[in-house]
Amino acid sequence: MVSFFAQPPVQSGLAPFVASLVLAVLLLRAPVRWQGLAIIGGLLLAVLLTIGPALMPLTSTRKIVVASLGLPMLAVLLDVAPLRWRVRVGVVVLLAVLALLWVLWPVLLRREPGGAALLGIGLALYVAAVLVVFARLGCCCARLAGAAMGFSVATGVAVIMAASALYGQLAFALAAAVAGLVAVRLWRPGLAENDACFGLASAMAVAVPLALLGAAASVYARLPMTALPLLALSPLLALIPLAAGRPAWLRVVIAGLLSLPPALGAIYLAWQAAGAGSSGYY
Amino acid sequence: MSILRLKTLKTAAVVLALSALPAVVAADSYTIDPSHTYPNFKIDHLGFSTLHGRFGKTSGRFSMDRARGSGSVDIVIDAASIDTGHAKRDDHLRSPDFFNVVEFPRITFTSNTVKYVGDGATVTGDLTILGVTRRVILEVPRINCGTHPFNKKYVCGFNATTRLKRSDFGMNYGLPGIGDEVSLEIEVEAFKD
Repeated sequence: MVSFFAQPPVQSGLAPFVASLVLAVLLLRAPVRWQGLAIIGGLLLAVLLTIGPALMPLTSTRKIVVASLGLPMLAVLLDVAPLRWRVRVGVVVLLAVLALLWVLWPVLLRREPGGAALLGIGLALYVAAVLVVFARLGCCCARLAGAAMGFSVATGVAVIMAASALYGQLAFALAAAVAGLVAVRLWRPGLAENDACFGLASAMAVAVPLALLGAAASVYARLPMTALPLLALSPLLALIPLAAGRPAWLRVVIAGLLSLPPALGAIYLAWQAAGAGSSGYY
Repeated sequence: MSILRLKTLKTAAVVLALSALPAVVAADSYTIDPSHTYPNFKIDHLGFSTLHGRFGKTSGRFSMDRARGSGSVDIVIDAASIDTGHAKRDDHLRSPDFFNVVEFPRITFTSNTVKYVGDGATVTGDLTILGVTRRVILEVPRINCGTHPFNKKYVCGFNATTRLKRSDFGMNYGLPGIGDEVSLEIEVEAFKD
């Protein structure tokens, strides 16, 4: 009874995977640093299929979408700008924190100044931490791919536990989009073996939406704040060069596995906060 | 010349104020009884069945002046008070996927256009959900007024119905599996002030 494209596994799995895969094929001759466009394309398709193209009313969710598509596009430009790496990362982090405040603004306005400041600073630290870690991973493409998929799935499961299926679907769509890109690019001879730099745009295409979704879920849904430090640890562990010198696929898998233990902790906390054991529904 | 014009304006203002006075005096105003006022809704679920739910907390006021054919309505619904009989589904309905109650805690309906038809009325007003305001028409087939048998206060009650599309308010998640069209029926009781 429900049409093919209205099914969540299609919206946040198959469709973004295929979109990213097609874009990655089209970008085969483009500079490696443009690969983030494939992930952005996958996420865009998932957004269109889940909530449609309308930007109004400009709710917190649509603000997240705008920032998630806009900031990585800016990162594509920053990647070729004659700026030092730290400056480029700093610009994106600053803009992402401003985007977070924009997303949270209706809630911050209603709170006492002290409480609003505490909330804003705490979540800004989470967003900044995730972005900085992913910026580091941007120059280790196999580890970036593994961490991105692990972190996407972890964030997706945690936010679904926290009662937002839409946030979860968008997070899963990112995992699918990264998988589409990986399927095309990572096994290209010479690229993965040399651990080529996917660049800032690819890293931010994953980090910006996931960081904003996690932070927003702790305010607009029921994700406990205590789950955020564990989620932030998830990509951080992928920085450990455990599989150096191994085949690319193994490095992707190991990076993904490394990101799992803290992610499981975050998911457990989200599950507890949601009323562990109570029945779900469809 | 300007002093003369000012006096004319003052006189006109006094006449207008006096002419409006009987309407103010004649209109009966009522405060909603939250324990007998519930907005109920029903919506298609995946084409299999119809899901029913309600909002548990509603407040507001309305006024009626049948003689002058006027009235007003001002209702506030606590969006977080949604109840479909399943806690996890209610959490989901409160989330950003649907009512986004942290960002938009209130659903409001305001109207100054009440048209009395037989024993009932048609109320045309502005419904605001997710910060989006759309004009809707509430059909009230019958307004029942009288003295409450227990507390002896004068009370009026009615059921108001309308249909709306949630997508008109930017609530698009789950379409079309979870229906777009929502039937709304508000049971209202209110005590005369």
